[in-house]
Amino acid sequence: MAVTVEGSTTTAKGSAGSPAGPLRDTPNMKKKQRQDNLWALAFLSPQLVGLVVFMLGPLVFAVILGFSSWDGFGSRSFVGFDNFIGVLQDEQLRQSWINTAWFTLLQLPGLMITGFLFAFLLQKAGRVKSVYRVFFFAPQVTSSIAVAAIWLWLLNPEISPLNTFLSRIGLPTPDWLQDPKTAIPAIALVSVWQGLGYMIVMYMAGLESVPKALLEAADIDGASEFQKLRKITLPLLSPTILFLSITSIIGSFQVFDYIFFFYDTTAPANARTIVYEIVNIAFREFRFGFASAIAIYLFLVLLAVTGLQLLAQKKWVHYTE
Amino acid sequence: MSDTKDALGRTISRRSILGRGSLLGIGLAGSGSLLAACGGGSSGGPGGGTGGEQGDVATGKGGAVTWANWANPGEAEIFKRVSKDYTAAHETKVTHQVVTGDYESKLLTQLAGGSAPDAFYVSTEGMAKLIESNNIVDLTEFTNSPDSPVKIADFYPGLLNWTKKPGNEAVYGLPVDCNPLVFWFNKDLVTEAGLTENPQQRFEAGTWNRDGLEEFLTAMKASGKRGMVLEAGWGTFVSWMTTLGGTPFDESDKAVFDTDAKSMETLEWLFDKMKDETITYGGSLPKGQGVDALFYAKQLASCQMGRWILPNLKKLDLNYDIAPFPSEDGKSFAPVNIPVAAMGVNAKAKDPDAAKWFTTRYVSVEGQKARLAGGGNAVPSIPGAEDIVTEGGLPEHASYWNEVAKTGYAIPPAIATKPAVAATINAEIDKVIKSGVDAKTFATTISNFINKG
Repeated sequence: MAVTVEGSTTTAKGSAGSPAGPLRDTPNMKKKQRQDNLWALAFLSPQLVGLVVFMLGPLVFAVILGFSSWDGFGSRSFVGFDNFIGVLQDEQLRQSWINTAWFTLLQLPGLMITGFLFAFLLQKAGRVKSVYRVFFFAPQVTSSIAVAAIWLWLLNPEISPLNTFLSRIGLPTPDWLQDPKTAIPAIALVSVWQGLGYMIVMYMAGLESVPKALLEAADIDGASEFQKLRKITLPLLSPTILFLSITSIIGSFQVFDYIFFFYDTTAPANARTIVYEIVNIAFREFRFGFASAIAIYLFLVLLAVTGLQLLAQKKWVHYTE
Repeated sequence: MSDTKDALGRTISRRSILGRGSLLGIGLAGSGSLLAACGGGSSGGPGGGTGGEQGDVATGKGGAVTWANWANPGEAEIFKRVSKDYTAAHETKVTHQVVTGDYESKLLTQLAGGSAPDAFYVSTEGMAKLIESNNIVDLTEFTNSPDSPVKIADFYPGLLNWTKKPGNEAVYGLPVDCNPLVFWFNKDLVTEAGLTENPQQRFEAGTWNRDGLEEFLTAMKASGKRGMVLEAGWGTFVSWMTTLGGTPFDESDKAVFDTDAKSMETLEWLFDKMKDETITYGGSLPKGQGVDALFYAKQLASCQMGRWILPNLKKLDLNYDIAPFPSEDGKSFAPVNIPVAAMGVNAKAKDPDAAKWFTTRYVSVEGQKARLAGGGNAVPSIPGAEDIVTEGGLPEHASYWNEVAKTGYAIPPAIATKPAVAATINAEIDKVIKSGVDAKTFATTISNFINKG
């Protein structure tokens, strides 16, 4: 099939059944393509420069630092794998990895399941849905410092209304942020509270894209609400679920702000996460090489987890045309 | 020759005291020239000569200075005003940079990138590394000159150790002000507990010792309130040791509280009191977020903090006062920890002399008065501005702060010179206490942690 593009005659690549067979690009077309590519590069160059300077450069520098001893000033010295070995031998870091994994295990289902449930119910809320959506999204746009201040009060064992309530119904009143058993769950609770709005908005967008015709057809066939949810809604929502699970896992492995706001630089051993350790080791202990080695481990862990999720998605994520 | 003890309880000789006294005398004698320097009327100032577009080295006029510190919005307003006033008085263009968020990491990044301000606050934990890496300049020569607005000897002696290179008398940072720990107490809760004397009255009567404190804590426990919460900070623990006569660090700046009899006696007592719940262990919540919140809520009869909680207390309906920490003899201002920050001058400052003039004027008596008067939340680090603390009459015995500032000490060099120790010691203390060990194991573990670095 011959088409004319800006005065030059050519064929659409890959078109089948052309009596003359596939036509080759003419020199003029090649020149035009080169020009287009150059223009594209020119338009992309500010972004590419930013990518190289602010993303790729620091990444390469972090890898170099991982093999170095550097206090942030003066010269670096090459130390081979010492930092990486040191990270594996550090007892507190082992605890911090466990804390991070524990936080992820608590936060991820907390966000994903609660977010979905609220979004699913809000879909049926009719006109007031937008109002609810604003309320749920409000914590997301609230400063983390304000959130931390409110929750510091709520989690204070002596003056917390939460503990007063627990006490009245005969339940134990933990020292949320100091008790090793409750520190990470408390931080996960705050994180879920603040992150819920984003989850709801994303799920609601996903739910709205589920074709109504399918749900109506299922109704005609006599499907129950649960069957429609399991057989239609969830499968069609699976790309959204995948996206949210990947970003949530990455976010939870990188949790830092709540811990820093709650404890400043004095977080107890059972409340320290891996990014908190990276910041402290780099900027307070002046061990940038060691901190970079931890960051590289974190990168590899996240790469592996995300890779596994992407591999597993072939079995449960359904993309519509 | 009679010996006495320094702020950390170490024995110092009479010669050393006389030396300090002489330095103080020289400092006081220089205070006249300080005012002259502030007025810009002196000549032959530090360094001599002038520097083109740079400031006038001799008089400290002209040039430009950028400076930074940590500040909440209220403080930032004061610092802006200070900068503006300085510009008006000394024709130096002063720009204040407010650093929000994590000050240390931002400053470090600026220093590494060569874009740090000319003068900046340095915390007790960050000073040693900045000195070691030559990022800040030695201020000794400048402050020794006749026209320097402030002399090293002017400062309370316990506030300077951490601003020096180990084994060297050169000073790299000047304490901007300080915040001695005192024993805050709720007068109403004391009365409700049936005590006839509060800690301040006991102090005046000469009975504010460990027994007096124990009586206070026992009465509070009996009344159903908490008497005292012990936080997991090195400053609190070391303060209790020194105030009750201990010597937690020896002359070589090694932690020895595990072998020092009086320090161990205090630790054993604290651990016993935590065990029988007369004292509550408070963990490691940072200041402003834990113990003081309980004190504000009238759930806690005392808290051991500096003047920084005063602005909050003024807003509350709370009947409060302060006393010094209990001492061995029950009537002394015994040494305790003084949280402090210093101002240093960037080694790459564009106009180093203007920055030094600014820094020395900023920490001088006049400088501290300008900043702290009218509701400040700190205590002067230098004699001559004591009335700032007592203005407004709150708390009633606010003058105690000036006395504690004279005898107290900043971060011990054993901690200050080891960034990894300084950064993690509070978490380590918390971890060890929560592991349920006894006082002796605690002392051995933490002293080893400090010494091994």
